[in-house]
Amino acid sequence: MLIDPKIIERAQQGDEEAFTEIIRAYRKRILGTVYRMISRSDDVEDVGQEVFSRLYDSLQQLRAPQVFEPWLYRLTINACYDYLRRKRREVDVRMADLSEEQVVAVDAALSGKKALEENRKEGARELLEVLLDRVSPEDRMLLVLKEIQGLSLKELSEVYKVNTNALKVRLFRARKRVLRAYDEMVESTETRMEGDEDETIAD
Amino acid sequence: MKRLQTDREEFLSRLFATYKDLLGDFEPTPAFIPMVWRRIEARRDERDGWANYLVVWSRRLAVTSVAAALLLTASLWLPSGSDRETALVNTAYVDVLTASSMDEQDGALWALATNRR
Repeated sequence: MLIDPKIIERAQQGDEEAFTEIIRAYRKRILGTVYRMISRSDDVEDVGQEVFSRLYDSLQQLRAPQVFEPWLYRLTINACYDYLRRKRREVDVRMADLSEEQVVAVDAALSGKKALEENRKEGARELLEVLLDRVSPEDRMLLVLKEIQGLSLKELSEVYKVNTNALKVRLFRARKRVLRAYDEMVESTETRMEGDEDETIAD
Repeated sequence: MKRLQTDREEFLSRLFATYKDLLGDFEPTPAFIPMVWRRIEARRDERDGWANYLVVWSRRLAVTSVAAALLLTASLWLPSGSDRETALVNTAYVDVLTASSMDEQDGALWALATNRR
Protein backbone atom coordinates (compact mmCIF):
# COMPACT_ATOMS: atom_id res chain seq x y z
CA MET A 1 0.00 0.00 0.00
CA LEU A 2 1.18 3.48 -0.82
CA ILE A 3 -0.36 4.99 2.28
CA ASP A 4 -0.76 4.31 6.00
CA PRO A 5 -4.16 2.69 6.74
CA LYS A 6 -4.60 5.21 9.57
CA ILE A 7 -4.74 8.02 7.00
CA ILE A 8 -7.53 6.16 5.22
CA GLU A 9 -9.40 5.82 8.52
CA ARG A 10 -8.99 9.54 9.16
CA ALA A 11 -10.30 10.32 5.69
CA GLN A 12 -13.28 8.07 6.35
CA GLN A 13 -14.07 10.20 9.38
CA GLY A 14 -14.18 13.29 7.17
CA ASP A 15 -10.62 14.59 7.58
CA GLU A 16 -10.04 16.56 4.38
CA GLU A 17 -6.28 16.80 4.90
CA ALA A 18 -6.10 13.03 5.05
CA PHE A 19 -8.11 12.76 1.85
CA THR A 20 -5.73 15.17 0.11
CA GLU A 21 -2.87 12.92 1.22
CA ILE A 22 -4.61 9.96 -0.40
CA ILE A 23 -4.97 11.88 -3.67
CA ARG A 24 -1.31 12.90 -3.50
CA ALA A 25 -0.19 9.32 -2.92
CA TYR A 26 -2.32 7.66 -5.58
CA ARG A 27 -2.78 10.27 -8.31
CA LYS A 28 0.17 9.13 -10.45
CA ARG A 29 -0.82 5.48 -10.29
CA ILE A 30 -4.47 6.20 -11.03
CA LEU A 31 -3.71 8.63 -13.84
CA GLY A 32 -1.27 6.09 -15.32
CA THR A 33 -3.96 3.41 -15.22
CA VAL A 34 -6.54 5.74 -16.72
CA TYR A 35 -4.09 6.77 -19.44
CA ARG A 36 -3.46 3.15 -20.40
CA MET A 37 -7.15 2.36 -20.34
CA ILE A 38 -8.48 5.26 -22.36
CA SER A 39 -5.36 6.19 -24.42
CA ARG A 40 -6.50 9.78 -24.77
CA SER A 41 -4.21 12.09 -22.87
CA ASP A 42 -6.57 15.07 -23.12
CA ASP A 43 -9.20 13.38 -20.98
CA VAL A 44 -6.96 11.55 -18.47
CA GLU A 45 -7.13 14.23 -15.78
CA ASP A 46 -10.86 14.62 -16.17
CA VAL A 47 -11.44 10.89 -15.65
CA GLY A 48 -8.89 10.88 -12.79
CA GLN A 49 -10.74 13.70 -11.03
CA GLU A 50 -13.96 11.73 -11.42
CA VAL A 51 -12.30 8.70 -9.79
CA PHE A 52 -11.20 10.69 -6.73
CA SER A 53 -14.51 12.48 -6.35
CA ARG A 54 -16.31 9.11 -6.47
CA LEU A 55 -13.81 7.86 -3.91
CA TYR A 56 -14.69 10.77 -1.63
CA ASP A 57 -18.40 9.97 -1.93
CA SER A 58 -18.02 6.26 -1.26
CA LEU A 59 -15.10 6.12 1.19
CA GLN A 60 -17.38 5.64 4.19
CA GLN A 61 -18.70 2.42 2.68
CA LEU A 62 -15.21 0.90 2.71
CA ARG A 63 -15.22 -1.86 5.33
CA ALA A 64 -11.48 -2.09 6.02
CA PRO A 65 -8.52 0.06 4.91
CA GLN A 66 -6.75 -3.15 3.81
CA VAL A 67 -9.08 -3.50 0.83
CA PHE A 68 -8.61 0.13 -0.17
CA GLU A 69 -6.50 -0.51 -3.28
CA PRO A 70 -8.82 -3.04 -4.96
CA TRP A 71 -11.65 -0.62 -4.09
CA LEU A 72 -9.84 2.27 -5.76
CA TYR A 73 -9.08 0.13 -8.81
CA ARG A 74 -12.73 -0.80 -9.06
CA LEU A 75 -13.72 2.88 -8.99
CA THR A 76 -11.09 3.58 -11.65
CA ILE A 77 -12.41 0.76 -13.83
CA ASN A 78 -15.97 2.01 -13.47
CA ALA A 79 -15.04 5.60 -14.32
CA CYS A 80 -13.01 4.44 -17.36
CA TYR A 81 -15.79 2.12 -18.40
CA ASP A 82 -18.31 4.98 -18.30
CA TYR A 83 -15.92 7.16 -20.29
CA LEU A 84 -15.22 4.49 -22.91
CA ARG A 85 -18.89 3.70 -23.36
CA ARG A 86 -19.59 7.40 -23.87
CA LYS A 87 -16.70 7.79 -26.29
CA ARG A 88 -17.44 4.59 -28.17
CA ARG A 89 -20.63 6.14 -29.40
CA GLU A 90 -18.72 9.17 -30.64
CA VAL A 91 -15.63 7.57 -32.17
CA ASP A 92 -15.66 4.70 -34.57
CA VAL A 93 -12.20 3.62 -35.60
CA ARG A 94 -12.15 2.42 -39.16
CA MET A 95 -9.44 0.27 -40.65
CA ALA A 96 -9.15 2.60 -43.60
CA ASP A 97 -7.98 5.32 -41.22
CA LEU A 98 -4.86 3.46 -40.11
CA SER A 99 -1.67 5.41 -40.40
CA GLU A 100 1.26 4.38 -42.52
CA GLU A 101 3.21 3.49 -39.35
CA GLN A 102 0.57 1.06 -38.28
CA VAL A 103 0.58 -0.54 -41.70
CA VAL A 104 4.38 -0.87 -41.41
CA ALA A 105 4.05 -2.42 -37.95
CA VAL A 106 1.58 -4.97 -39.23
CA ASP A 107 3.80 -5.63 -42.23
CA ALA A 108 6.80 -6.20 -39.95
CA ALA A 109 4.84 -8.64 -37.85
CA LEU A 110 3.61 -10.45 -40.93
CA SER A 111 7.06 -10.81 -42.46
CA GLY A 112 8.22 -12.63 -39.33
CA LYS A 113 10.55 -9.98 -37.90
CA LYS A 114 10.44 -10.97 -34.29
CA ALA A 115 11.57 -7.94 -32.36
CA LEU A 116 9.82 -4.71 -33.08
CA GLU A 117 12.56 -2.24 -33.90
CA GLU A 118 12.94 1.00 -32.03
CA ASN A 119 11.72 3.17 -34.89
CA ARG A 120 8.67 0.99 -35.23
CA LYS A 121 7.74 1.05 -31.57
CA GLU A 122 5.56 4.08 -31.99
CA GLY A 123 3.72 2.27 -34.75
CA ALA A 124 3.32 -0.73 -32.45
CA ARG A 125 1.84 1.51 -29.79
CA GLU A 126 -0.68 2.91 -32.24
CA LEU A 127 -1.39 -0.58 -33.47
CA LEU A 128 -2.20 -1.84 -29.98
CA GLU A 129 -4.36 1.18 -29.31
CA VAL A 130 -6.35 0.50 -32.46
CA LEU A 131 -6.69 -3.16 -31.48
CA LEU A 132 -7.83 -2.26 -27.97
CA ASP A 133 -10.32 0.18 -29.46
CA ARG A 134 -11.83 -2.69 -31.40
CA VAL A 135 -12.62 -4.89 -28.40
CA SER A 136 -15.20 -4.20 -25.70
CA PRO A 137 -14.37 -1.81 -22.82
CA GLU A 138 -14.53 -4.82 -20.45
CA ASP A 139 -11.90 -6.76 -22.42
CA ARG A 140 -9.77 -3.68 -22.82
CA MET A 141 -9.70 -2.88 -19.12
CA LEU A 142 -8.98 -6.43 -18.08
CA LEU A 143 -6.08 -6.65 -20.52
CA VAL A 144 -4.68 -3.30 -19.48
CA LEU A 145 -4.75 -4.25 -15.81
CA LYS A 146 -3.14 -7.63 -16.42
CA GLU A 147 -0.76 -7.10 -19.31
CA ILE A 148 0.22 -3.47 -18.89
CA GLN A 149 -0.36 -2.55 -15.27
CA GLY A 150 0.98 -5.96 -14.28
CA LEU A 151 -1.65 -6.86 -11.68
CA SER A 152 -1.45 -10.48 -10.53
CA LEU A 153 -4.39 -12.85 -10.88
CA LYS A 154 -4.90 -12.66 -7.11
CA GLU A 155 -5.05 -8.86 -7.19
CA LEU A 156 -7.40 -8.98 -10.16
CA SER A 157 -9.66 -11.45 -8.39
CA GLU A 158 -9.97 -8.93 -5.52
CA VAL A 159 -10.80 -6.16 -7.95
CA TYR A 160 -13.32 -8.14 -9.97
CA LYS A 161 -14.58 -10.27 -7.05
CA VAL A 162 -14.33 -13.50 -9.07
CA ASN A 163 -12.07 -16.51 -8.66
CA THR A 164 -8.80 -16.82 -10.55
CA ASN A 165 -10.04 -19.61 -12.82
CA ALA A 166 -12.89 -17.46 -14.08
CA LEU A 167 -10.38 -14.67 -14.63
CA LYS A 168 -8.09 -16.93 -16.64
CA VAL A 169 -10.97 -17.81 -18.93
CA ARG A 170 -11.90 -14.15 -19.30
CA LEU A 171 -8.31 -13.22 -20.09
CA PHE A 172 -7.97 -16.00 -22.62
CA ARG A 173 -11.13 -14.89 -24.40
CA ALA A 174 -10.10 -11.23 -24.31
CA ARG A 175 -6.72 -12.06 -25.87
CA LYS A 176 -8.44 -14.14 -28.50
CA ARG A 177 -10.71 -11.25 -29.40
CA VAL A 178 -7.71 -8.91 -29.74
CA LEU A 179 -6.07 -11.44 -32.05
CA ARG A 180 -9.24 -11.68 -34.08
CA ALA A 181 -9.30 -7.90 -34.39
CA TYR A 182 -5.67 -8.12 -35.49
CA ASP A 183 -6.54 -10.72 -38.16
CA GLU A 184 -9.26 -8.49 -39.53
CA MET A 185 -6.83 -5.60 -39.58
CA VAL A 186 -4.18 -7.60 -41.40
CA GLU A 187 -6.73 -8.75 -43.93
CA SER A 188 -7.86 -5.22 -44.53
CA THR A 189 -4.25 -3.98 -44.85
CA GLU A 190 -3.35 -6.72 -47.31
CA THR A 191 -6.38 -5.94 -49.43
CA ARG A 192 -5.38 -2.30 -49.43
CA MET A 193 -1.79 -3.05 -50.37
CA GLU A 194 -2.91 -5.32 -53.21
CA GLY A 195 -5.19 -2.57 -54.44
CA ASP A 196 -2.30 -0.09 -54.39
CA GLU A 197 -0.07 -2.52 -56.33
CA ASP A 198 -2.77 -3.03 -58.96
CA GLU A 199 -3.08 0.73 -59.34
CA THR A 200 0.73 1.08 -59.75
CA ILE A 201 0.79 -1.65 -62.43
CA ALA A 202 -2.11 -0.02 -64.22
CA ASP A 203 -0.22 3.30 -64.21
CA MET B 1 -1.38 -24.87 -36.36
CA LYS B 2 -0.55 -24.96 -32.65
CA ARG B 3 2.78 -23.31 -33.34
CA LEU B 4 1.10 -20.58 -35.36
CA GLN B 5 -1.20 -19.97 -32.41
CA THR B 6 1.77 -19.82 -30.02
CA ASP B 7 3.52 -17.36 -32.34
CA ARG B 8 0.46 -15.19 -32.38
CA GLU B 9 0.21 -15.33 -28.60
CA GLU B 10 3.88 -14.39 -28.34
CA PHE B 11 3.38 -11.56 -30.78
CA LEU B 12 0.54 -10.19 -28.68
CA SER B 13 2.59 -10.47 -25.49
CA ARG B 14 5.45 -8.61 -27.19
CA LEU B 15 3.07 -5.94 -28.35
CA PHE B 16 1.81 -5.46 -24.80
CA ALA B 17 5.37 -5.36 -23.46
CA THR B 18 6.37 -2.72 -26.02
CA TYR B 19 3.33 -0.68 -25.16
CA LYS B 20 4.13 -0.94 -21.46
CA ASP B 21 7.70 0.28 -22.05
CA LEU B 22 6.59 3.16 -24.21
CA LEU B 23 3.98 4.56 -21.90
CA GLY B 24 5.73 6.21 -19.01
CA ASP B 25 4.06 7.70 -15.96
CA PHE B 26 1.40 10.28 -16.50
CA GLU B 27 2.43 13.50 -14.79
CA PRO B 28 -0.53 15.29 -13.26
CA THR B 29 -0.73 19.06 -13.65
CA PRO B 30 -0.42 21.20 -10.47
CA ALA B 31 -4.13 22.00 -10.75
CA PHE B 32 -5.13 18.37 -10.38
CA ILE B 33 -5.76 18.30 -6.61
CA PRO B 34 -7.59 21.68 -6.51
CA MET B 35 -9.73 20.49 -9.41
CA VAL B 36 -10.64 17.31 -7.55
CA TRP B 37 -11.74 19.38 -4.55
CA ARG B 38 -13.69 21.74 -6.77
CA ARG B 39 -15.53 18.76 -8.23
CA ILE B 40 -16.22 17.30 -4.77
CA GLU B 41 -17.56 20.64 -3.54
CA ALA B 42 -19.73 21.13 -6.63
CA ARG B 43 -21.24 17.69 -6.06
CA ARG B 44 -21.72 18.41 -2.35
CA ASP B 45 -23.47 21.74 -3.15
CA GLU B 46 -25.72 20.00 -5.61
CA ARG B 47 -26.60 17.37 -3.03
CA ASP B 48 -27.15 20.01 -0.33
CA GLY B 49 -29.36 21.95 -2.74
CA TRP B 50 -31.56 18.91 -3.16
CA ALA B 51 -31.54 18.23 0.57
CA ASN B 52 -32.62 21.83 1.30
CA TYR B 53 -35.33 21.62 -1.31
CA LEU B 54 -36.62 18.42 0.28
CA VAL B 55 -36.50 19.91 3.80
CA VAL B 56 -38.46 23.02 2.71
CA TRP B 57 -41.13 20.95 0.98
CA SER B 58 -41.37 18.48 3.86
CA ARG B 59 -41.93 21.38 6.27
CA ARG B 60 -44.62 22.85 4.02
CA LEU B 61 -46.29 19.48 3.78
CA ALA B 62 -46.17 19.03 7.57
CA VAL B 63 -47.72 22.48 8.20
CA THR B 64 -50.47 21.82 5.65
CA SER B 65 -51.22 18.41 7.22
CA VAL B 66 -51.47 19.89 10.74
CA ALA B 67 -53.75 22.68 9.52
CA ALA B 68 -55.96 20.17 7.69
CA ALA B 69 -56.14 17.96 10.78
CA LEU B 70 -57.14 20.93 12.97
CA LEU B 71 -59.85 21.97 10.52
CA LEU B 72 -61.20 18.44 10.39
CA THR B 73 -61.27 18.18 14.18
CA ALA B 74 -62.98 21.56 14.49
CA SER B 75 -65.61 20.59 11.95
CA LEU B 76 -66.36 17.42 13.90
CA TRP B 77 -66.63 19.12 17.29
CA LEU B 78 -68.49 22.27 16.38
CA PRO B 79 -72.14 21.88 15.29
CA SER B 80 -72.58 22.83 11.70
CA GLY B 81 -75.03 25.52 10.42
CA SER B 82 -77.48 22.99 8.98
CA ASP B 83 -77.66 21.17 12.36
CA ARG B 84 -78.59 24.41 14.07
CA GLU B 85 -81.27 25.16 11.46
CA THR B 86 -82.71 21.66 11.85
CA ALA B 87 -82.75 22.16 15.60
CA LEU B 88 -84.52 25.47 15.17
CA VAL B 89 -87.03 24.04 12.76
CA ASN B 90 -87.61 21.00 14.99
CA THR B 91 -88.06 23.13 18.12
CA ALA B 92 -90.48 25.44 16.35
CA TYR B 93 -92.49 22.50 14.98
CA VAL B 94 -92.74 20.87 18.40
CA ASP B 95 -93.72 24.17 19.91
CA VAL B 96 -96.36 24.68 17.26
CA LEU B 97 -97.70 21.18 17.82
CA THR B 98 -97.73 21.69 21.58
CA ALA B 99 -99.35 25.05 21.21
CA SER B 100 -101.95 23.80 18.80
CA SER B 101 -102.75 20.78 20.92
CA MET B 102 -102.99 23.05 23.92
CA ASP B 103 -105.25 25.36 21.92
CA GLU B 104 -107.42 22.43 20.95
CA GLN B 105 -107.53 21.26 24.56
CA ASP B 106 -108.39 24.74 25.76
CA GLY B 107 -111.09 25.05 23.04
CA ALA B 108 -112.61 21.72 24.04
CA LEU B 109 -112.60 22.66 27.71
CA TRP B 110 -114.15 26.06 26.91
CA ALA B 111 -116.87 24.35 24.78
CA LEU B 112 -117.62 21.87 27.57
CA ALA B 113 -117.88 24.63 30.13
CA THR B 114 -120.17 26.69 27.89
CA ASN B 115 -122.44 23.70 27.26
CA ARG B 116 -122.76 23.06 31.04
CA ARG B 117 -123.82 26.60 31.53
